[in-house]
Amino acid sequence: MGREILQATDISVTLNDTAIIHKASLRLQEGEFVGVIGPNGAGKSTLLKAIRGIVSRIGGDVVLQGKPLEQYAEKEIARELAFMQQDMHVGFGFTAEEVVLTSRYPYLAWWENEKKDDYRIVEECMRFTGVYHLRDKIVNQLSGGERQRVLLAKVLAQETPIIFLDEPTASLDLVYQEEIFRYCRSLTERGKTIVMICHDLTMAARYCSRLVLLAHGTICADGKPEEVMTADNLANTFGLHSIVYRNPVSGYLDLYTYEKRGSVQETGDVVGAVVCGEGEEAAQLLRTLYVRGIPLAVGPAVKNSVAAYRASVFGVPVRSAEDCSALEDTGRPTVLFGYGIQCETEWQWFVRMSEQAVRVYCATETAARFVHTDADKSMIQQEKCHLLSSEEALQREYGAL
Amino acid sequence: MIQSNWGKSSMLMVLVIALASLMMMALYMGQIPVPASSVFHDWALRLGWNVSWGESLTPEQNAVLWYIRLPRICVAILVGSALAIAGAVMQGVFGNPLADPGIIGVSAGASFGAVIAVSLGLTSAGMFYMPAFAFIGAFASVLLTISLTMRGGKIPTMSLLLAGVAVSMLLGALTSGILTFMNEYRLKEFLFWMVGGLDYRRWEHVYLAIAPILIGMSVLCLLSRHLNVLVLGDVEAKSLGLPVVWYRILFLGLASVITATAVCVSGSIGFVGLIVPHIMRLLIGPDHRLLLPASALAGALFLLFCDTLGRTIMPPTEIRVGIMTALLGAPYFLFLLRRMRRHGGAF
Repeated sequence: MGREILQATDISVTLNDTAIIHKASLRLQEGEFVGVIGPNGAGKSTLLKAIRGIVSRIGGDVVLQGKPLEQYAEKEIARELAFMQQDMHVGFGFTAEEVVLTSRYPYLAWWENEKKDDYRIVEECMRFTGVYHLRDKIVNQLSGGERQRVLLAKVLAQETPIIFLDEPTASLDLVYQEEIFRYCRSLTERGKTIVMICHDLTMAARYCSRLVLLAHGTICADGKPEEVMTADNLANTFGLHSIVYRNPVSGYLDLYTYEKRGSVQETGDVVGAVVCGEGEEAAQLLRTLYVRGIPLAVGPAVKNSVAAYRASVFGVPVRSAEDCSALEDTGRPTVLFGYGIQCETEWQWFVRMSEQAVRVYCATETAARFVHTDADKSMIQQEKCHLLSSEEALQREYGAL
Repeated sequence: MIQSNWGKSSMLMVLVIALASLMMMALYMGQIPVPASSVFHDWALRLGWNVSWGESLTPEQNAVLWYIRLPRICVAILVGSALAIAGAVMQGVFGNPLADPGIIGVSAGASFGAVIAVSLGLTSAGMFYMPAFAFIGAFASVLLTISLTMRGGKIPTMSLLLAGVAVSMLLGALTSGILTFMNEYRLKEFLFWMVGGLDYRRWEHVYLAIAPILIGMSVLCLLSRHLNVLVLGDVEAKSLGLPVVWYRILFLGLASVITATAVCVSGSIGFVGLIVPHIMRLLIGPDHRLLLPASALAGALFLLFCDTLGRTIMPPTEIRVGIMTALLGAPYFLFLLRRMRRHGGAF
């Protein structure tokens, strides 16, 4: 990380007597790619505009490159910090090149016209974002992705060390969204500092070097993506029930979001559950039970298996095949679910566990496949044991889920 | 739209040549016949060339040419270019292609000033009273509109438009109110001014208008690059380091001054400020560095054309230029609007 180039301290903004931003502080270091996230109306745009001086602030100081912002001339700030606004309207049929050319404004004296160098910089920036071939096209008639890349070229051509982007990926499809993120990251690798407001949390966590979480006009969390994007933070700010985990396929932080249904625990006769098995059916069962807030345990899983990983994402204890204490994990009378059992070891564990369980549910196919010995048969024939599909089992055990 | 720079600059050349030719034609067309050859003969003599062809002008022709037609042509060119360039600037400042100088109260203020001058009977005291009152009225109403809108160092465009409409309506009501107390002779005098015309314009009118209009237009053309940035909106302009309020006031002020000057020498002439910039934008694009000079040239061309047509189409009656611009302009404008709707309103 490089040196600190911007310090905004205790920024406060009110609009019509309502506090939009309250004492928010943000420090930027050279080469950072900061993603500003937060729910709608959290004040993300306002914060950036207040730091830039587009929105007037009632309190707080901004120090840019070691000098208070107030001591800068307007054009000097524009040479240090570029701001790309959200949903910019370009009227009157201006062409892409004409719009990008306006970014050279801070470098020209009032009587001057753009010089050769300015055209060269504009061309370079438009080539970088891949829109030079669109230079004579009217911006209003471009597609959303092309338009955003033209506007990105525009802030780049302003040649500032710091760039603020207000939702540049809004209303873009996945390909263009990712493209914008990639451009930004490669820019920060070249030493630019970028602050970007975005709504796609996983994308932000993947590309940004730092996240700032804003809610109700205050900064709730600030730090590395994995520190900021936690289930607790998301629940507190977005009111979103989620599980944050590292996607084993991509290796990036990912989100599993769910709607929290009224917890079954409160209805009284609820018991915990142990899920035994691998496969998609077991996973589905685990998700459904987790969302209803039922105390869970999983087993018998081999370390680093998909089942074990899944359980760790959900924060559910996992027991190995030798360990038979899974029923104590839930801390109450426990129901055993045997779905997606793949091998003899798992089946043996299932049979052993079934002795202590209050009720046992098992897939019909599983029973057909693994019931060989008399002990197996007597277990299956017990009154507490039911051969049902997983949906029917859930229905029977917990009512309508 | 013309794309190449070469095409754009040749477009300007075409406008200059067209204007010059139209000036020549306007000089010898009219009720008193002045043959083209005599016009050239006279020009040549004045330039010090000794020519043998063509007849020299009779004293009557000379008077018509030098004291009636030429000042009238000059006023038409000044007023036409001023209205068109002011229209282009207003549309840029408001980011709205339907804005024109009238929208922030210039015309209503000028009419109000004029009606006061008429009702006080000052028009007979001197020919400059009415223009002076019109100018003061126009400028005062613009100041009123801007000061009504300004809040905490900001001028929101939408409020400015609405305030302009409100101020215009108020002044319109006052003007009508004063008119009801006027006698018929004065009423007619005011209506004559209202319609907008270029007849009986003398060199004095040219002297009156030339300095503010030429200076205003030059400054506007010089600053046109800033208008390109201002058009992109407040946030964009501000983040590029442009002092938005200062430039907005400057542009509005300059546009108002030249419009007010134009209105006070010609009465209010509609549609030039609306249509000419619009057509020029379609032809050469929205870059104000080209749009402003092109609009000025085309505005001069359009007004001179309307005036010449108006005074030659059915002699001996003259159709006043305000009527001609509206007659030619309104249908064309409606055509543009229809076309715009078909193309989904790209402008």
